Amino acid sequence: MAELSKDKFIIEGKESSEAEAIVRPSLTYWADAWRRLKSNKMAIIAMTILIIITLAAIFAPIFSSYDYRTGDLLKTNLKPSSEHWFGTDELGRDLYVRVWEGTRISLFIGIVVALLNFTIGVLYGGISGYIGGSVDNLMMRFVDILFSIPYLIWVIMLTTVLGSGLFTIIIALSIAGWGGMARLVRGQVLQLKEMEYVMAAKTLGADAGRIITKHLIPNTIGVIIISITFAVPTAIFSEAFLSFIGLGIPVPNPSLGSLSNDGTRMLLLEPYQLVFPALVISAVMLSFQIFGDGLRDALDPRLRQ
Amino acid sequence: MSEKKLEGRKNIIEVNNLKKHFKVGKGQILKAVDGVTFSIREGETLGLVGESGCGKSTTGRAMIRLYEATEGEVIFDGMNIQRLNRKELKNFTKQAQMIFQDPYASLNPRMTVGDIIGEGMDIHGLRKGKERMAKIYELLEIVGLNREHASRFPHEFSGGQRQRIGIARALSVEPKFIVCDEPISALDVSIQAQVVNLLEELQEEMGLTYLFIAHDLSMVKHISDRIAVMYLGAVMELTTSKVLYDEPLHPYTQALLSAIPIPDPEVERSRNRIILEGDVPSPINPPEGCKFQKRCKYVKDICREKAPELREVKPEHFVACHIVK
Repeated sequence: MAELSKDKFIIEGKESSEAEAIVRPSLTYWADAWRRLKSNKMAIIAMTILIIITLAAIFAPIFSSYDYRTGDLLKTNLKPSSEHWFGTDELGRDLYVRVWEGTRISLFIGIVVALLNFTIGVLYGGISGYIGGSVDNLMMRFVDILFSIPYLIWVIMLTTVLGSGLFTIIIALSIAGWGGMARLVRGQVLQLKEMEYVMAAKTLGADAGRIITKHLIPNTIGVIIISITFAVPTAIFSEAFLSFIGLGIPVPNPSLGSLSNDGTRMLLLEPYQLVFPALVISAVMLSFQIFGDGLRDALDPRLRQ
Repeated sequence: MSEKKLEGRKNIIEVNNLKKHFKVGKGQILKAVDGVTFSIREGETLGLVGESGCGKSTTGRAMIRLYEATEGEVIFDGMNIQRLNRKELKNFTKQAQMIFQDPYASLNPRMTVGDIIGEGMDIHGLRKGKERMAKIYELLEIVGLNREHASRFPHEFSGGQRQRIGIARALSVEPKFIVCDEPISALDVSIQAQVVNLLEELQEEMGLTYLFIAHDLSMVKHISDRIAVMYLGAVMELTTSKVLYDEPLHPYTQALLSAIPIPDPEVERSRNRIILEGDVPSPINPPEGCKFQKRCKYVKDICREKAPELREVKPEHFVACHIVK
């Protein structure tokens, strides 16, 4: 082949430095995720419903003139009216306040349990996955054994020891729930620690702490958040189920489950007593599911364009 | 590249009988690297070629202690890198760096390019604040990117750009020795030349030493001063790139070289290719004796009994074969 010297060529059009320019505006991971979440109408509606329900659960009992504990025995089983928006129960307690108070307790349980699962699960799964080998094997077999026991048995055992109450429910649901998170995080860490950017960090002399905080956690956080979003409704529903069968929050404190339980007893006479708590619990569950789905689409890096 | 004077330069890194075995369960052992010996002189580029799975990358990773070697030693600048304590190891990471194969997996998607390049400086506490940013901008410009790119995220870049970010990251700690682990095999042919030229320029300016791992023989010939051919965890032939291409001695090297297409239809049509029979045997149960015996057409009894050692058959020309005299 004939030699071609460089001076026979001239650059037409773009200089090389211009060719490297990027036109698209720079978006951080979170800005990009928010942009995608915003375009998902169902997820935004679900998010709005959740915000409204949360605000109502926080503020409705405060601004109401009624108390969720004290009833008026002259006004039992009233139908919804301008005075009692959701009516009253068989002890004459205002259902509007009780439903929102119940929502408050249910949401509190859901969120606390999800956060406990998150903390324990991320620590346990992260350590297990990062160390790997026989330590990992041992830690995961322990999880397997722990989770072969159904949570109902945990609740019954703990109720015997600690007595029934909010605290017992939270502990029982956390014991039964963190394994899922631990397994998820372990799987992610096992996969991520073999990535070349983790090797590059090791080559640069990074220690375990830096690799975990700068490389592993930021790349797992999306999956973790999605998992938390699904853990909240699961915990709420478990609590509702426990309260429904009488193992949950003790009276007079309401929860969405115990309110539904009370409602079923009056179902044939006063159906609205079941309708309102059932509506709220359905709305919460459905919204969390749809919002979680939307979050997954927005955060999952595999769907990044 | 062959005009570079390499005689008399001292060795920057020496690999002696390096072995890396992995346990793969059921008591089986995968011998990824099984007794590799070579050295690299200061400012030199040693090409390491071979089929996939022959232990090239494992060798490279064991040389910078990403893997703990099972046996053998790696001597860098007079120190045995297997015996370094924590502090010495951290110091070693400042001198030996790596450029990775997959430009899509080698950059953390959650960090800005500036933070990726600055990570080495952060770890070693080399530069802070304005000085750090100035160095990041300088490195970006060295690899042909703009300083505006520092605040961008990796997914906004093309493969070639990402590979150059990986190079800037490796350069950030001012190393002497860089393992290039197939840095171009994931790139388009047009971009390959760009990256290879950049690596050559950097070598000239900074006096870097490379171990260049690849399976593309023509690209390796272009960049390497000497080339080592690996097969199933062992070095088969090691010599200067010119000699290797002009007069390969090992039957495996001859077969490899005959696979390179020649951009001339007349020659291409008439030449005889050496076609190897069979596949590379599994490194889990490698055959006794010579690793290449099962596919070698000159195989003799001695090849099945004894593994050949790497001998210097001519000055600067090492071959591991019983047949070659």
